[in-house]
Amino acid sequence: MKRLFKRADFLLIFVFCLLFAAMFLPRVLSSDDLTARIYRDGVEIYSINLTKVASSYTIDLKSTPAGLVEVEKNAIGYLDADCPDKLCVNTGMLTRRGQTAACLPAKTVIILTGGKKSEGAPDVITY
Amino acid sequence: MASEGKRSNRKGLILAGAAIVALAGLFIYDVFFNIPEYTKSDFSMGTVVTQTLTGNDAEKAAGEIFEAFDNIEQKWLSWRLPNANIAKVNEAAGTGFPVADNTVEWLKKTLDVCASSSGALDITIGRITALWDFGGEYERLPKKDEISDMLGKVDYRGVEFTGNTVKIARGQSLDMGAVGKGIACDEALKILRENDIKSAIISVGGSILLYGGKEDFRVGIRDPEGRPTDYMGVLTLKSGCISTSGSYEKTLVRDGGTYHHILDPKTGYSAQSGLTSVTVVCDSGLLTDALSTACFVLGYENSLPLLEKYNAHAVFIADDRSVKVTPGLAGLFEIANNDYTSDSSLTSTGAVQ
Repeated sequence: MKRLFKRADFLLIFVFCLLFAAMFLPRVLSSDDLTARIYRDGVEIYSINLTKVASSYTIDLKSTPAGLVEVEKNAIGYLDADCPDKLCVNTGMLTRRGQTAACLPAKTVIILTGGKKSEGAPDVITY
Repeated sequence: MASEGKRSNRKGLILAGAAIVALAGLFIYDVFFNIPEYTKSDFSMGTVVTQTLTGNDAEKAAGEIFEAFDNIEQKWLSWRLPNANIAKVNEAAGTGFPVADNTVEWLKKTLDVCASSSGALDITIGRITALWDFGGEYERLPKKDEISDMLGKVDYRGVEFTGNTVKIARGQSLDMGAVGKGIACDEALKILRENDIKSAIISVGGSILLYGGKEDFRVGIRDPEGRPTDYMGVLTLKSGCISTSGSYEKTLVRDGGTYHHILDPKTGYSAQSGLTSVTVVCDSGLLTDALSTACFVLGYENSLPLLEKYNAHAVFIADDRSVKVTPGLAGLFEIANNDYTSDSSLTSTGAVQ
């Protein structure tokens, strides 16, 4: 009895499987790390993967009034700002997806996206 | 020969079938499980707007929503920008100004809440809010006689409609600040539907729109005594609008007193109802925004008939950190901070029965 598939066929099937995996795996394994997105005047000026921060550093947002952001592993926040009310600095460090800190006078915002959904933590805060 | 041909055809069919199944799997995964999520923050209507949308046209929809918000402020609702409908009505106090259809609709709905709350919400308070200018360049503690002089002009019943022409009494000034963010949530909802967005969380300065989604959304209520990222409890909701009025948001400390921005239209001073925050949930953003302000002024007991009238639900936080929840949110609210205590209807686990 002759076999339905020959060796060349299996090679073809193997190549097809590789192609399929190449298309499918990136969809499943796409990075969903905790990421800080920093906006100035509605334009994203930084996207920082917080899980990969090796040592803490600061960023000058070059905004008016001035704003300084501190970046740590899995945390980010306004360190200092020249705005009158300092609400941005008083917000403290952001550590969880969905959290935001904003400086209204400077029109800068930090928002955390990605990362695992913390057990019991809210998706958004009403205030 | 014929048998060889049949076998070859069969093999071809099997391979083609496998390829079709694989590609169909990819297609199904992309359509149903790999829907793009888009997040963006920007400033509009004088506040921070954050959108997280899921859908193939999420980025396009987010752009349309920001544009709609800018239009709401600049064309219709602002009392500061001179070309906005409301600013024109204020300028034409005593004579009237023709406004857009949407502005008429928003005004009439808001005035309905003004009437139902017996003036606890009153959008003709504009000249008094301008005196205080909370969070603005000219923020100050007004003199008593300045407030008393203007109190007599505060009366929502002075707003008249003749077709689309809106007339307010001389000396009155409209301030739609109590409903602007909620109106924005309602307009965003229309755009989400038009763009076939699957799920969305939109925050307009703390007023929230929840839309679609397979899982329930968890909405934290800000801890009035904590930082902006701290929450004292969590609502679990499928969809709808949520607005909070809190005495912590804009405050002025002068002459030994602390004043907050939620003004009682009867006194012209910060409302003193024993509350630090009220969070309202219902289907309409305009209503949640209007009701949260009205309920804050009215206090818990007086708010209940108002909430019932509009089929809305609320979480009240009092000065003494006690928390009251209306029955419509039964089982949907839990306290997350033990400094706060539930008032009678909460179980030891914190869930409302």
